[in-house]
Amino acid sequence: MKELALIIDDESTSRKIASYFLSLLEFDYREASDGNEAIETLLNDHPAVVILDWRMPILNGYSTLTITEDIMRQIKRSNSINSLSENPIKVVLYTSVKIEEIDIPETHSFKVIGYINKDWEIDIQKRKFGKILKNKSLKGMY
Amino acid sequence: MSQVKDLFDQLASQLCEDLVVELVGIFEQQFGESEALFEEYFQKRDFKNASLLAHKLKSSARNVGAKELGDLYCQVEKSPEVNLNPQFLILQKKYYEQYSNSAKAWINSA
Repeated sequence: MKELALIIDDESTSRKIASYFLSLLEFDYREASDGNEAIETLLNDHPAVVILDWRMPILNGYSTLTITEDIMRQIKRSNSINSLSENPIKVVLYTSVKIEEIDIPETHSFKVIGYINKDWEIDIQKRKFGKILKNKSLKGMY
Repeated sequence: MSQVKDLFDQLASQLCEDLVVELVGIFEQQFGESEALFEEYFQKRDFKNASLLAHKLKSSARNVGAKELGDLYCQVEKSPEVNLNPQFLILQKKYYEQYSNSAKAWINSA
């Protein structure tokens, strides 16, 4: 069974590129154009991986992680849903914001495993997707 | 022109031609929608939304090989108070037309 990835990005060409790389890596994927839209999928489907843009107009990357974390804590406290996994969701930051400008919140529900800058050349982005997500080279794959 | 062709060829070698053509189409639509918005933000001195729009377009422009436009949007994103001006509005149209012609030529030859 393929792992599920969720792409959260307000910019559609970036979502298209990320989804293309994810399909090469044999992920199923869903797309959300902002954090608000993403929260439902995060809570209900618990994707294995989130590809997260950082600067978004409605709900940015930081707020998406912290709000989802708060909701997950409340759910766990009330014990109304037992299906939430104990494993943190892996997060790959996919953004043109420089890594030193990103304030990653400490959460139990998410673990940031990588950073890919959208300003990098497309071949470097492709290589990083493969390396971070599957420790696999996508060179020569279309 | 040949620099842009090289960029398209590079994109197509890492993605695939159909996807590059689709991305160019999305960018053309985004650009069409953004022209009036930048004009409006300039008139209203709405620098916050101008910066957000420039950020979004910066990524999509660079994703489709429109490097000059990407750099132009980068300047507006960083300092909208300084760089959102009539010169920007003229330049983005000029760069877009140059890009669009190159894109069409590449798509026709692909």
